[in-house]
Amino acid sequence: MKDEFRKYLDKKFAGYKKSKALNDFKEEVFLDLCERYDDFKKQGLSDKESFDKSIELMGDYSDALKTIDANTPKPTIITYSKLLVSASLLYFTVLVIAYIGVSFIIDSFKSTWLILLIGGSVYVVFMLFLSSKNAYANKNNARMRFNMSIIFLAVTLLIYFSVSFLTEDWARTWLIIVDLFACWMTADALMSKIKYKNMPIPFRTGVNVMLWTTAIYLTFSILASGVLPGVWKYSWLIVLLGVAVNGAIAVARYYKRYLGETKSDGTKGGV
Amino acid sequence: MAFSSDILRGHTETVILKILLEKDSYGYEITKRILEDSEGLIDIKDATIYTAFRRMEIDGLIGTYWGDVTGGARRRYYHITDKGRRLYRDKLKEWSDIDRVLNRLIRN
Repeated sequence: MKDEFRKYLDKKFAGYKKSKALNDFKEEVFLDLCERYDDFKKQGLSDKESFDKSIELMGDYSDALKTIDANTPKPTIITYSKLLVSASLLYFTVLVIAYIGVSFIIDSFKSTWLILLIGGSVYVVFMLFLSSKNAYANKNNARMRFNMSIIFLAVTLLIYFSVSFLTEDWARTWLIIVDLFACWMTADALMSKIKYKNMPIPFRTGVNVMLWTTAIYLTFSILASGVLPGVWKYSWLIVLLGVAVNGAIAVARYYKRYLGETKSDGTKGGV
Repeated sequence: MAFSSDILRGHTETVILKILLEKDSYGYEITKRILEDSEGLIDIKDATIYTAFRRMEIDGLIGTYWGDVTGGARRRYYHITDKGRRLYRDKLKEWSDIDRVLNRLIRN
């Protein structure tokens, strides 16, 4: 019978946003239902009668749920999810049709699977963007960010291996990982910056700049080494330049911020 | 003849505070206690109790803590706070006035 009560409560509270507060509340109600059921059984009622009467005496919890953190009614979320599922189905249907259509038109399936790969990647990145909007709106986003990192890693590896197999150029395709990782770090930092305006980000920005600089340095050096044999001799200057520009921006930003603060409170003089 | 739970409207919190003054308790136990003390005439719905709990918790009249695992789940207990005790005393005085006035209006 306990399972029946749990199923009933899951269904009854399905229209509310999942949260710890809601789970705690469900546990309370569940135990009350079980205890009341046992009392009815002791009074000689049948299983069904006891169950029905216990449910009947629960009453309407909507007011209680309004005061719980997780009380946001779900209809809009459900509608949004339905829209997302429908749009995704439509997208992949069009993608498969495009894949098959192009393959037939050019009479070759040799490389057209790339349509699916690129289309799939675009979809994942778009979904990543959508979920990141929700994730960064929530301060307790560590779990979401971790999930997104895993998805991102999977997409990166997928692209890396696909391109490597396709081009058979394993000597250079590892750069994809470096470049996409830099993209990820930047996206992560930008989203954090937008939502956490007071969050100190110099360290994060520094890491980003180093990653981007390294990515550009390596990509440029390796790609250009074919036509410019001595490129490695000078390309390290890219790293130096990137770090210098980052340093200059950081100094300018903090100098401006310092001036802004001191001028606004009027206690310290500016330049 | 059972009374409608409406009869408690406006006094549910006071009744809960009175029960919690005696000992810490939980939703169903309080519902049962109200049924027993009202000689079976007031069978209040669980939801009414929990709505009052949430409101009282926000107002700082009661606090909660988790008890041991019972029947595969944890039991959440409610206890009265100092603010709740003070409010109960005020409500008790208020009820004495209501009782006197209503008696006069209805009986005489």
